[in-house]
Amino acid sequence: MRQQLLALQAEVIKIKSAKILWATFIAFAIVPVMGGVFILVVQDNEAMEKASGFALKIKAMNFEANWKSYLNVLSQAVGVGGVLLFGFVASWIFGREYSDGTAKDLLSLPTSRTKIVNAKFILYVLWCLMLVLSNLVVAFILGTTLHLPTMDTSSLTGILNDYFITTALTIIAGVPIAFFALYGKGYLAPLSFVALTLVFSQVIAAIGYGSYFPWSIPGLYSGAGGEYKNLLSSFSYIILLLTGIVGYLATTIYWKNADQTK
Amino acid sequence: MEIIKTDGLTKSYGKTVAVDNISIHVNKGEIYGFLGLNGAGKTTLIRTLLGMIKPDGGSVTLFGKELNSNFNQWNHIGYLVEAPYAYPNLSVYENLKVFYKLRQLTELTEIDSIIECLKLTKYRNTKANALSFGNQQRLGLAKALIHKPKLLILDEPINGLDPEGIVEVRELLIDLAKNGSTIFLSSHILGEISKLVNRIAIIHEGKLIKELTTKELSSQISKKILVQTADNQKAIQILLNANYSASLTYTNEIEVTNKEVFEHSEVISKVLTENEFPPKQIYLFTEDLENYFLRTIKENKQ
Repeated sequence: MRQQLLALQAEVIKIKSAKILWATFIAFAIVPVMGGVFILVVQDNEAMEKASGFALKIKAMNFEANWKSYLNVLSQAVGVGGVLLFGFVASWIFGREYSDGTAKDLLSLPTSRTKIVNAKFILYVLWCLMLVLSNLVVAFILGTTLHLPTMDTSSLTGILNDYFITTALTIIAGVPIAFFALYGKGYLAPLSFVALTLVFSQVIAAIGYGSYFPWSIPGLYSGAGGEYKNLLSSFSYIILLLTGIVGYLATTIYWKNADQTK
Repeated sequence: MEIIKTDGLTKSYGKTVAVDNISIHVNKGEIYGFLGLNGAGKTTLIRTLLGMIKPDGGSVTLFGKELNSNFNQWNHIGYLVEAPYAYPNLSVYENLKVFYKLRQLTELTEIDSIIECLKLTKYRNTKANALSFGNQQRLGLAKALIHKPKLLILDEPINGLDPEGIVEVRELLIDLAKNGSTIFLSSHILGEISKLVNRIAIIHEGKLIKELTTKELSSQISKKILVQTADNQKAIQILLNANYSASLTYTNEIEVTNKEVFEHSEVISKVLTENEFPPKQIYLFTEDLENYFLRTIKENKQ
């Protein structure tokens, strides 16, 4: 346990001064800020009546100036945008060791290779959790500032429950990206994989098979696919879970056993 | 005690045999130099010793324990493989702190000690991406030495260092060996290796083609007396008549290879002067390590 903690502390030192850390928070915060703009427009009857392109889009989304609509937007951003952003985080955490040329320094140490990979996965989960929490905080500040009507506790709990389940599903979907970062020895392979999954998740979800495609499942669960959410079954969650498990095992087995020549 | 032992170590990449049946041993307190041209297999061998590459055949034993997935002596080993990369956004201190954690060390003062030892104090809070190559090399060495290892495996440890840095690192390595550390190093700065090592191995196209002590090396390094006269052709004839082994080199000098005259070149001068061909120039030529190395590889090819 001490070894694992020390490995995690080493990972934390590595990201402390990384500009990319703050860049991900700023990029993700665009979602609650945009949600805030939606609220402002919806609250402004005059703006809505002008039927500008933006107002029409907001109407098409059935967006209302309340916490439910606002938090649903955040959930959908995690379920769809999170596949991209969390994938980017995983690509960076695992791929940087090859891009920085430091991978070889992590291989012959008293801290086992599995613990080093585990520390990276823990950091990945913590980073993603901090991202979704920071978005909640930004949304809370903006929503309160914009005087959104208060919501009853049970509805809020339900929405937050969906928000964090979407987060968990998206985090699981990002696990296999670590393998591509190690296998591809850098950022290119995992980022290409992320881009491909994003495209395929949209296409496959649109033709009605999203409930079988691991990277569509978080988006569908978040409600981004509307009624397609109803297609999700236990089988969908098992597929996603198996994808995460296979991704984790492939990453650790590869890191432990593959010849490291870079 | 044998600190490193390889037995029939072999590694291939497709049809290319990077390491071909190499068996070596390095004793405690020894500095062992490994020479080879680029692509000779030095780095593959070093990575295999560090468990980064799995051999196709043969075995590696470190500290008497076979290198396998249960090997747990890594805190006795420090290493620097190829270029000394560091986390670019972290300072020298933070870079070392990462390895302080991963090596499970307990005294934070060890970081500043190694920073001081490698003359990096001035750059303690400088980010690695702002360091010169020489200082990055020092940082790489600091990572390898922070835990005071009993075995150091270093790939080109003096690469990029200025002359002062080379002397400092040489003295540091000699000190470590005196205190019982074992050092296995590769370098292409052959003259520098000869000042450091107790034994030298030469690897070529994956094969170990020579292994010898520095004493054996000095006896194998070729020596000859080189002479120039007003008429070298006639002078050669005179030396041959006097039973000396003499021939003309491509630089139009006479070379005399009889060992007995190496310490007494005046004998050659006397013979030539008595026959009215006094030497215009006469000196003892000693082959340097670079020449010896290239000659050994050439002989191996033949």
